[in-house]
Amino acid sequence: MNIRVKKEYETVVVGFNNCGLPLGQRSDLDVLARIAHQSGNQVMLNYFEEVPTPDALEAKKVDDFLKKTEK
Amino acid sequence: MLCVNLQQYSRPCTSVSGGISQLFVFDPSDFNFSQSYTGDAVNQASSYSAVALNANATAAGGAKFYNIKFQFKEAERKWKQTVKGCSVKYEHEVDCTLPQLSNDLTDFLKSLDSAGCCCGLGLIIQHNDGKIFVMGEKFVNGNQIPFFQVQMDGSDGTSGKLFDDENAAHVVFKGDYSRELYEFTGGINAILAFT
Repeated sequence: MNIRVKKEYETVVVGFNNCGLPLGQRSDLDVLARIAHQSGNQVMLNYFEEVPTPDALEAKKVDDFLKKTEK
Repeated sequence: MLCVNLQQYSRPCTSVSGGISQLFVFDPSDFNFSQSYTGDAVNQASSYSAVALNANATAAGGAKFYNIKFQFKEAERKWKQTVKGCSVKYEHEVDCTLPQLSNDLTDFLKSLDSAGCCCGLGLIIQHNDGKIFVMGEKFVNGNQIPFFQVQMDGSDGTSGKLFDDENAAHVVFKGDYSRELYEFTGGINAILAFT
């Protein structure tokens, strides 16, 4: 899953997941997408080029967990 | 559960420390907190998990979390809940000791007084056990919440008389609200990004 933010939001700083790097430098945008869904925060949902569905985010979470356990 | 949804509460199975580790003050109009609702109707979690600047608020324009460097071990957060009929009130208070009376302190106190009068103050409070709490916030999930006005109220100071007497200000922040403070679970680095 390739989650990207819109070009104009790449320099925006959002503090989450114990990090405050600009969105264009974040590798944990799935966490932000999950927060945006759970909070229903329209401002945050608008950051994304294409907002991943909660099901897709859940599947990614499972995949990431399985990859970790394989190591 | 025919009348009300109650929740269980379990104490943490770890040691717990008292005291405040870090304290930040901010303009509540500058920041928007994200509150996630997870769990079910019975066990609902509702902490703040992300924070961002509001539109038109910029760090260059002063939208920051400003660290209050208090005297080590001299800060405390307290609250008291009371109820009259069905009306619940939480009286929140944060105290800290700032050593040495100075012009910098005067300027700092003036800024707190001005902010408290017009827009209220926001506080980020990190406890020594790592928990981070938010007090006086204004915007949540992009919406303005009922006004949570926090002001500096009841501060005092002394020069002391003797060389080894205390020379300090005791700064007190107070604010009444309808609940205990929400926790910020996005981590301290997420806060420090805005300092």
